[in-house]
This record gives sequence, structure tokens and C-alpha cells, in this order.
Amino acid sequence: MAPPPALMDDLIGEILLRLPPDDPACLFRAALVCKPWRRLLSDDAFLRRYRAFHRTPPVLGFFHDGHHIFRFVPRFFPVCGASPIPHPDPDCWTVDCRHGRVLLHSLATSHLMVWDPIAGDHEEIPLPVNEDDEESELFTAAVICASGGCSHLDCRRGPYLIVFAGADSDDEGGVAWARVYSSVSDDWSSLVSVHLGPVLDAGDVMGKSLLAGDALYFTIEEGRRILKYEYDMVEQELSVIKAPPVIAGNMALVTAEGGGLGAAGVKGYSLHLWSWRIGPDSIGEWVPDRVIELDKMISIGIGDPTTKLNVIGFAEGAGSIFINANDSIFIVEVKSGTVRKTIGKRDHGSTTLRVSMSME
Amino acid sequence: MASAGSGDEKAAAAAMITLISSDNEKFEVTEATATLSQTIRHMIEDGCTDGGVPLPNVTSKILARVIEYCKKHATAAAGEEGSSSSFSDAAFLEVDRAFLEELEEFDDAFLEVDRATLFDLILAANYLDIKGLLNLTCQKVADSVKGKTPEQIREMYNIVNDLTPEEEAEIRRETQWAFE
Repeated sequence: MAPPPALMDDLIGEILLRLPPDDPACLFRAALVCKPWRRLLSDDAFLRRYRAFHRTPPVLGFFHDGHHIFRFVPRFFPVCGASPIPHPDPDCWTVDCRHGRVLLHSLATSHLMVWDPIAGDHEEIPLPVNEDDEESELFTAAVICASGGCSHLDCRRGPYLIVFAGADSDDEGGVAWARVYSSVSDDWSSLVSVHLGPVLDAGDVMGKSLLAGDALYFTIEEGRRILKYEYDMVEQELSVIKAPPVIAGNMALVTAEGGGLGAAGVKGYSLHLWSWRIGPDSIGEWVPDRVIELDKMISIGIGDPTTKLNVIGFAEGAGSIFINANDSIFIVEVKSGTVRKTIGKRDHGSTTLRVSMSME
Repeated sequence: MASAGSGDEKAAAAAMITLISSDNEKFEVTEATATLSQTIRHMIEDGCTDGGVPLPNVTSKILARVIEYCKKHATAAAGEEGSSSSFSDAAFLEVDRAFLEELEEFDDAFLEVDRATLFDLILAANYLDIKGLLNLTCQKVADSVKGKTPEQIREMYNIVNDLTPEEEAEIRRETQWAFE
């Protein structure tokens, strides 16, 4: 058989462009084939084209914290093969990840760390303090890209914001407060707060975040309520909204169809999707969207009464809901309703999962 | 379908173009088939197809395969344009799905060729500017690269490794996890 004819560089580009984004290892191996392939795969213009061709940034993996006594060890589980990416501090927990950045909290220094897992760089930021100049024990935070109109396909080196939400108790119950950090000004903003009333002593009082529209949402009290933070660089506002009628602790905030706030929760073996709609009287309410029957999709011991399905995370942008069932993690693609299994195995006792996206 | 539409199709079918391969073989194809190639479409628009279109970069063996692809996909395009049904029409969608499945089967079978032919098809698809065929063939190569080691990829596609051992070691060090 005659050897294949040589292809011009731009045709090799056409081929490499079609390598699957859900298998990043494949791109790295291709870079070792020869100089022209390596040159192409490290070329900014090619990478921009690659991201545009595949439109959504691939989910590289997810972080979840194995729960140990007084110690949380973040680990990076790639979705498709490959092994852990070393993180900058072994004594820290993963607070959030978005737009290619991971927000960690170091227990040793009590600093926040913004980590770029692909480049391996990290920056440390001191924790903000409340009105009494004290650090809050209960807090959550979100890291977001600060570039306006960004597609978030390649912004992990750009400016970012950290929205920090702490919770303290006062005479009337609880109070939630928020401040925002800008990497440009290298400073925390003024403080905005809201009274929570009586706060349930839940395991995860200040939970995970969702960025939808111009607002950030955090689950509080394991998803019994939702904290809404609005920002426009000039003014900030903090408010509390009710959660949809799903089981507390078994729900995640998700992007609803149209880009607004949504929620996903499991009842039995069904995944219920809700969206938050503002009515003509300016009053918001939860509207049921769709139900995805998981027992028809997940091929594991359903029917076995010990099988419990838990919603443990959501990948913004990709629109993937992560569900734990019998120590396996499944990914439900909201748009197509398809389900696939990841290789990650969830540690007993861990309840949180943060999904990292972006590609390079 | 209106009878006027059928008349137009007949008129289109009547317009034939002659393609001439590098080894001087002549292929008569309909204009609808030929215009899947943007290169040929521009030549037709410029009125330079009288006496045949010489394609000095494409052998008769490859041109025959390319024409086979274009014929099948030109029928698909005509089907879409000719139908007056709306996309919301369930019956139409059913027919559409069956046709798309058939087209997919055709594409799969079409790609059952050796690597040299596959590369020749990529070169021809690029030269003739046939987007669908370029996408199909490049995706086939990309799929074949998936899950292969760099050594296997080089062997498959006859690529000489011109990276120095130092460069190779550096890339491996930076991305060690990809090779485990």
C-alpha cells in the first residue's frame, strides 16, 4: 500500500481541529507526533479556532473534597482518564471554580487562593472581614471573569472578581454579608448585608454558587433558601429567595432554559428541573420545567432499595448536572437529556462538588 | 410538490458539466452534483466550464469517489429544497430522519478506504472546496488518532518524528498525565 500523501499544514489543522474536546489527553499526545503538529497545537490562533469549532468549553474535570476530620483535601478528577493535577496547597478546600479558575481556601494561612490549574499559577488573597472587623467562620465565595461581554472560552488569564458571602449570628438570628474583590484594584469592596432570621444548623449553611444573568446565587442552609447577589460594579444588593419545593440537601442551582436561575432536584429516581420566573406583579416563583426519569437512563442497581440518587453539582456553560448514585458519578446533559458515567468515584461522606471548565 | 418544481429539476438535470481528471478521464455530471464543489460553482458562475473542467490535482480514481459522494449529497440537498413541508410537520420529520440515517450509512461506507485514499480524498475535498466531504474525511482521521500513542500516530500516517529528544522530554514532562 502506498504511504499516505503528505498534507499541507492547514489540512493537518483541519484534522487536529476535530480531535475531541472531551479527551484533552489526546491533544497532548498529538503534540508529540512531530514539530508541525506541536506548532499548530500550541498556536494561539489554532486554539481560538478549536474553541470556536467546539463552541462550549469542555468540562475538564471536577473537584470534590474528600471529607476528613478537620481536613479537606481537594482532588481533581478528570472526566476522561488522566490523573490528578497537583494543586498548590495540600491543606485547603475547593470553594468554587468557574471560567478556568479554581478558588481555594487554605486552612494553613486562612487565605483565599485563585488557582489556574492548567498553568499551575496561583494568587493569594486575604479573607475579607465583616462589619466588626472579624472573619466569618461560615462563608462561601464565587470566582468569576471580570471582562464584560466575554465568551469565557479563553479568559482565565484576564481580570476576575471574587464574590465573598459570609454568615454570622446576631440577636435576631443570622445575617449574611457580601463583599466583592477585584483583581484589578486588588481590594475588597464595601459591605452589603441582609438579615436571615433564624438559621438552620445545617451542614452546608453557605453553599455553592450559580452565575445566571447579572446575578450570583448561593444555596444557603443546604438549599432550603437561596442568597441572591446582584452587582453592576457600582452598586451591590443582597437578598434571599425561597428554594423550589425539592428535598433540601438534594438539589443544585442550574442554568434554566433562557439563561436564568434554575434548580434541579431528585425525587426518587426522577430529576426535576425548575426555573425561577418573575410574574407580572414582579413577584418571583418557581415553575416546574421538565422531569428526566433517571431509572431509564442509569444502568445501575435501580430497584435496589439502597440506591440513592443525589444531585451533587452543575457545570455552568456545559449545562451538565452531576448525580451521585451508589458511589458512582453520572453526568446528565440537560439539553439532550442524555446520561453518561464518569470514572470518578465519590468518597463516602463528601457532599460537595465543584466543576471546572475551560480548555487550553 | 408543484409541477413547476419538477420542471426546474429537469432543467437542472439537463445542464451537464464535464470534469477531466489528471489522467485525462472525462466524467459527465449534473450541475447540481458539480456545484457541491465551491471551486466548480465559481467556474460555472464565471462561465468557464465549456469544453470541460480540467482538474490536474485529482486522479480519475479519486475523482470517481468524489463524484459518488457529491451525487448522493446533491440528492439530499435537492430533497430539502424541493419539499414544501415545514420542519414542524411530523410526517416530514419522519421521512427526513430516515433519509438522514441513510445518508449517514452512505458516509460510513464511503469512508471504508485505505489511509492513502483517505488522504487523497482530503486533498481533493480541499482543492475542490467541498465542505461536507472535507469535514467527513478530516473527522475520520481525527477519530483514528484518538486513543493512539504518538508512535502509533506517526506509523499510521507515515510521519517523521522531527522533535529533538530534549523537546520530546519537555513536552512529556509538562503533560505527563496525558501519557498514563
